[in-house]
Amino acid sequence: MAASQDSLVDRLRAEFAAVADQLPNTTVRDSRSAAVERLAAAGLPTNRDENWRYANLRALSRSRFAPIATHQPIAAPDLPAALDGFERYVFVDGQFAAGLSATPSGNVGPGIAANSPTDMDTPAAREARFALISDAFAVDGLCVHITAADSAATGASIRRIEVLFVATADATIGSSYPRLSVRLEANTRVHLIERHVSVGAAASMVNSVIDVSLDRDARLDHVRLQQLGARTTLVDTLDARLASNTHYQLHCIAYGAAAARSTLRVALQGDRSRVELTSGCLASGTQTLDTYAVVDHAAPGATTRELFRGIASGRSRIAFNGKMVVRQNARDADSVQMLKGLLAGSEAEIDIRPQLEIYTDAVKAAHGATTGKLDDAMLFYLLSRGIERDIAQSLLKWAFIEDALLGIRPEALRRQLERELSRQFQDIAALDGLLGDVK
Amino acid sequence: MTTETQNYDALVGRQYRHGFVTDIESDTLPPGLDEDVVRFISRKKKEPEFLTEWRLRALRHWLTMREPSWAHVRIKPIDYQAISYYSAPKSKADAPKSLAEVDPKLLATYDKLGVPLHERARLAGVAVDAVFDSVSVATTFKQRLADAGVIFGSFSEAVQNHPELIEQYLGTVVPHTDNFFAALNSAVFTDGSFVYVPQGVRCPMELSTYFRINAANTGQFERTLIIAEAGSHVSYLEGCTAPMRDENQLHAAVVELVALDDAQIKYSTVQNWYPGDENGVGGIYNFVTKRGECRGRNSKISWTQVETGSAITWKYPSCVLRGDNSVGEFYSVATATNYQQADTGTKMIHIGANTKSTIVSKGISAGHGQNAYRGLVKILPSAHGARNFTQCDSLLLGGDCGAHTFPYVEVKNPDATIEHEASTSKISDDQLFYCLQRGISQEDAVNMIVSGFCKTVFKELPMEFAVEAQALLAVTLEGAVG
Repeated sequence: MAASQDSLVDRLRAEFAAVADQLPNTTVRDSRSAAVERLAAAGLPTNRDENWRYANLRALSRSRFAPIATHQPIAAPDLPAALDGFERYVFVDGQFAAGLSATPSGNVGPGIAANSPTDMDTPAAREARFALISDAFAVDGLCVHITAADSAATGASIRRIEVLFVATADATIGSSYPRLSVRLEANTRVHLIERHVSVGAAASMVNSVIDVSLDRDARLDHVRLQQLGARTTLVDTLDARLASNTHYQLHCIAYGAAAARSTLRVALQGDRSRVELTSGCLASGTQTLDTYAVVDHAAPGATTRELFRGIASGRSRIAFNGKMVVRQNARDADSVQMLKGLLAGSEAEIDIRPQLEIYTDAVKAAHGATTGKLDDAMLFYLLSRGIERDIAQSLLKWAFIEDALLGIRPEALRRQLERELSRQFQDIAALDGLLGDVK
Repeated sequence: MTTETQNYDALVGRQYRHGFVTDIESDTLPPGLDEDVVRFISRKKKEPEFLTEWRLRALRHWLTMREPSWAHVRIKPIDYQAISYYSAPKSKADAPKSLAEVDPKLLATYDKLGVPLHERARLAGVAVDAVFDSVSVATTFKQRLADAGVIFGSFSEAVQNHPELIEQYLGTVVPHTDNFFAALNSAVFTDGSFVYVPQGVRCPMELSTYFRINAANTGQFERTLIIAEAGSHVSYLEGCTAPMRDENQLHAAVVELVALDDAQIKYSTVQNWYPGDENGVGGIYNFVTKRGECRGRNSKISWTQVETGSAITWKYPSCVLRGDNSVGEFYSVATATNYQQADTGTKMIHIGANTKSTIVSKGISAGHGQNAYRGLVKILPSAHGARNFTQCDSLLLGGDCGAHTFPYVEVKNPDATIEHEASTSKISDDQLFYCLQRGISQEDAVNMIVSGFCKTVFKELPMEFAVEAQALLAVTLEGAVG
């Protein structure tokens, strides 16, 4: 294992050396080469690392690290339907595609820049090792920096932005590096939808890095949808820092990709900051969906609500590793974790780790975790009312995952999503009927 | 808060009650570990060839291993070549045949600890196999046990008298390659306890062993093996105290339990080794591998532990539920005060159909103590209808301590039902106020509340042990509340 990791790092170095000459100046070259060296020193994660036990990283060995230079042209109809009232920014294989984007004025909206990632805010010392690869190779990214003045300029109290990251190319051609940096200044509010989709059936390698920073009293509603193609591999790193009195609502729904790993770190740095993290995962076939979410309470009065629902069918594996850290100065922290897994396949696997790391006594921390099959009593109830077994099972699964979908806004997006998810269940007709009623 | 702190400051500074060193000459090997040391130990104990070879295989494997670093503890580097791997009381050459022949100094030591070795042992119906620095010196109630056909004695005796049982079972639950500390133990273990309960026998009394660490700089490496044949039943008690000392002492024990069809093993531990002083100096490193295998159908293994001592505890009593319908239980109270660090929990590996496991873990942290629960519940595809219930609660006393929970739930069978609950909180101000306004002192009130918090675990202990454990907990937490 160690030998193959060493050879991966060597290959990464070589690929970096090959593209380093094209970098614009020595400053950029130096900072990127520093990222490569930091990664080489830390080594790439393996399944022997405690927090990477469940991830499937096999695709790395056959992926090229260098960014994709040219990509297939795609048309707007290939993409999910646009949402009313949302500005749309589209990136194809990590590069901004102005033609596919829909923005209020010109290239980008106020406070938004499509930039080289070297200009973006990144945490000084990264622990996340896959983010270091992105630091070294990413070519483009979106900067959302909203000030009170920007908010006023758009004339709406809530800024609505959709960012669509499209993967098209095969991993043997290169990797795609979606980058998104969001900074909300004091008292601003943004509704952000971040989507990862595939066009075509290529086995892509996507390495996304999202950076979120909220100044005091800011609020971010962030919906993340992972709808990548069935052969794609995703490694994803999200870093968020919350100042005083901020509110971060994070919805992560994942059902695409052959193998996906999300590493989420939310630092509650300001007092009374609040994060609501909801994660829903649906896996079938041989998919592996792994999430590692750390919430670090580093200031008094911070609150966390974490909810996870996962349904694993076929031979798939779903892992959710949620860690709450409450530091000594984070008095009156309040954290609740509710993690539930549903096994819907005889060879499926669910791995759940609700962890608490607490260094103060003035804390309320609770977690609950359950894993099992569908409740026999509920199933019997439906069967006894003449509902067929397949439909009854689909209904119960639907009810189970719905907990994770309920808070998603706007309604139009949630309906889009529900419709897509309903296809995952056996009896589509039954659910279509149900959704029809909802409409 | 300030006045309370002042009240208890005096208590915080109290010395460890069980801290003293018995002055007995030891036959001790110079520090260091190589094949010669292993051969010396094996020769000294007149072991058969297969055991010597097994030890050497373990040593060779250990040399290729690295110390694990995943536990949530901070450990100063241990120099394994600076430890002496053999120490036996000098009287070993002419070992005592009865209690009367036992060195009175030794007996006085047990008296100070309150070990019920003679009268109290009889009253309590307890047979005591006392391990003093790795060699058994006294075993009582042997006859009654022998009449029932139960073999209970030191591991060395068993090696001499029942080598076939040792060869058949040693290392089958915890192989010599299992982990760093188990491999080390396999190479250099000096003694321990051995229990064999024949088919259909219900052991007539609770079996008990008191371990003590005595000579300076000697790691103690016990090996315990308990075999319960089909339809048998045994309850085993293990209690520990240690004298006061300034150096860290390494303790790496291995306990293996084998339960065949319909057999039941109950293993209870009260661990009160020297935890270091109030500044975190000294104390025992307690790195233990405990594992039981429910090999037969309908078998049951139950672990109950009260962990109040040791500077660093690293132990996960586990159950491998191989037989259909087998049951595993784990009840634990772990406290960490001053600068103690505990990373403890369990593993329940469900292999057989309809296997059940229950985990109840209560962690108490005070002072600068760090207490971590780490537990794995693994359901393999063959474990149809498996069930697990886990509850791990943490209580924090004071603002400088830590309580951590690291559960692992891995499920590969859709028929399984797994439930996990955990909570972390401090002592409720309401409960405390209620007690105080009824004239109960702060300390008594805290003791009552903590006892209540631990009650589900204490009620699993044999009665006399439960009383001792409760008293121990009160002593441990003295001065930790503020």
